[in-house]
Amino acid sequence: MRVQDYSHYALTDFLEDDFFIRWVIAPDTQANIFWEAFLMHYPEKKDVVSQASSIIGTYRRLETFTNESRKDAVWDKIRAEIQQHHVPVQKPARVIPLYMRAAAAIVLLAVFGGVFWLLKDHRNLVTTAHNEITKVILPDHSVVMLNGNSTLRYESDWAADEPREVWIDGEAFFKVKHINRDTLHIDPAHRFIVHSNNLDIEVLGTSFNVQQHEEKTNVTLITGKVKVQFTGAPSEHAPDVILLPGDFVEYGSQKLLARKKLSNPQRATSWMKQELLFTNPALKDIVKTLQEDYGYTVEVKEPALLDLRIEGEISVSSVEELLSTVSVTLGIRIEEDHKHITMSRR
Amino acid sequence: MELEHERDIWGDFKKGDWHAYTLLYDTYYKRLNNYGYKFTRDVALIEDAIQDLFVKLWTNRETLGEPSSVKNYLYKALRHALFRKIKTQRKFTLAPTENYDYTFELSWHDHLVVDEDERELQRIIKDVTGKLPARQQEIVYMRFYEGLSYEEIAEIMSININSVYKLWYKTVDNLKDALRHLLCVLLVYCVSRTGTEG
Repeated sequence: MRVQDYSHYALTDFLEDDFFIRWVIAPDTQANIFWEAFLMHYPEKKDVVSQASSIIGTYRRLETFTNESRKDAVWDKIRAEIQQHHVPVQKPARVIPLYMRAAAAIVLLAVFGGVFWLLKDHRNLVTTAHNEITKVILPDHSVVMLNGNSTLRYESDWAADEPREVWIDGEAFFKVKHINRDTLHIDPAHRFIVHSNNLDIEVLGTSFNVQQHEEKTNVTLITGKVKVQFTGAPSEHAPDVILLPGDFVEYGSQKLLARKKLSNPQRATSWMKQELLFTNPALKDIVKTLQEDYGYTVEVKEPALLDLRIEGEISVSSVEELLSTVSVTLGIRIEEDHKHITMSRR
Repeated sequence: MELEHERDIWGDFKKGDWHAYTLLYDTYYKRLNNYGYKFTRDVALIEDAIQDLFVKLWTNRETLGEPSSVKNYLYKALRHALFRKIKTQRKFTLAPTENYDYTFELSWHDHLVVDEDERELQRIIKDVTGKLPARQQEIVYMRFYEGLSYEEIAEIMSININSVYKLWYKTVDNLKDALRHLLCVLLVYCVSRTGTEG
C-alpha cells in the first residue's frame, strides 16, 4: 500500500480499511511509520484520521463485557458436567466384547472414590475391581491410571507447604504435574512421593508406571526423572536409584532383583489401553494374566499344556480375541463360561 | 496468545492434557463472553453456551481438527452454541432475548479516566451501534474489536465472503447518517484533544 492510495479516503473509507483498523487496534512500528508519512504528505487528512480512530477506539472501550466474576463458577460447572459424562462403565461379567476398545478410549473416573477413616488420617481411598481401570485426578491435578485389583490412597487436602504423597497397592501409571522447575534443587514442599509396601518413589515431575505384586514391586519410567528408595531393606544393601526414561527396576525379598533399560518402556503401560500384549509367552503367562488382571478362573486339563509357548508377539484388545488367538495358534480347545475358562487338548 | 504457542496448547489439549484445556478456558473466557454479548444481553444464556462449548470441546477433543486460529474457531463454535440455545429458548418461553437490560461494563479499561467528551462520544456510539440489526452489530464487533478480515468473518459467520462485503457496506451505510451527527461532536472532541496534547 502506498500513502497516495489513501489521499482520497473519506471517514467511512477509513472505517472500512483493514490496514487502518489494525493500526488503530494494535499499532506496530511499521504501521506507525506509514501513517506518520501519510499525514505528513496529506496534513488535511489529520482530522478525518483522528475521527476514524476515535470512533474505533471509543467503540472498543465501550463494548466490553467480560463477566469475570463468574469465571470460576462457570468453570466448576464445566468440570462437573465433564465428570458426569464419564461415569465409569460397568463391564458385563461374561463376554468382553469389542466395546472394551471404545471404553478404553474414554476417560474413566474413580468409582469407589469414597472417603474412609483409615488409621487416624482422613484419606481418599480408590479401589478397583477385577478388569476395571480407573483414572484418578489428584488434588494437584496429577493423573493416576489405576489398573484392576489395585488401591490408591491419598489425603483429600494437599497443603501447599507439604510434600504430595500417595500410597499404592497394585499397579498404576502416574502422570505427575510439574511444580519443580529445577530438578536438581527440589523444594521439600514440592516433592511428590509414591509409597509402595517396600519402596518409595520420589518424583521429579514425570510419568511412570508402578506395579506391585505380592512381595515384588517394579517401576518403569516413561518420561522425566525419579528417585527410588528401597524402604524394605537397610540402605547399604539397596542404595537409592535414580531412574531415567526407559529405566526399569524390580525389587523384592529385600533386594534389587533387576535393573535394566527397556527397549520399549511404553509396553509397561499397555494395560491402560486394555491391550493384551505378550512376547513369546508360555500358556502359563497368559493364564496368569487372565487370573490376576481379569479375574477369570482358569482350569487347565493337562499341566503339560502350561509350558506350550507361542513364538512372537500377541497384541489384542480383548480377552475374547486373546482366547481365539491362543486356541488357533496352540491348537487347543478353550471354553469360556461365566468367567470360568477351561483349556484342554483337542 | 502467540500463534505457535497457541498451536502447541491446542495439540496438547487434543491429546487430553487437562492443563492445556484449562489454559484455553483461561485465555478465552473473557473474550468469548464479550463476543456472546453481541448477540444477547442474557448473561445466563451466554454462560450456558460457553459451558456447552467447553464440555463439547473436551468430549470431542480427539476428533477436532487443527484450526488456523483457535480464537476464530472458538468464536464460530460459540456462535453456534448460542443460536441453538436462543432457538430452543424461544420455543419454550415467550420472552424475547432482545429485551435485556443494556448495561455496559468498562472493566477492561477501568483505569481509564473517562472525561466528559469521551462520555458523550460513547453515548452516541452506543446509541448508533445499538440500533443496528444484530448481524450488523456482530460485524462491527468483529471489525472494530477484533480487527478480523472479511475472510475470517465469513468463516466465523458461515456465510460467503460476498455476503460479508454486502453486510459491511450496509452497516457502514447505516452508520453514515448517524456519523454525520457524530462528526460535530468529534470535531469538538478531536480539537480539544489536540489542544490539550499540544
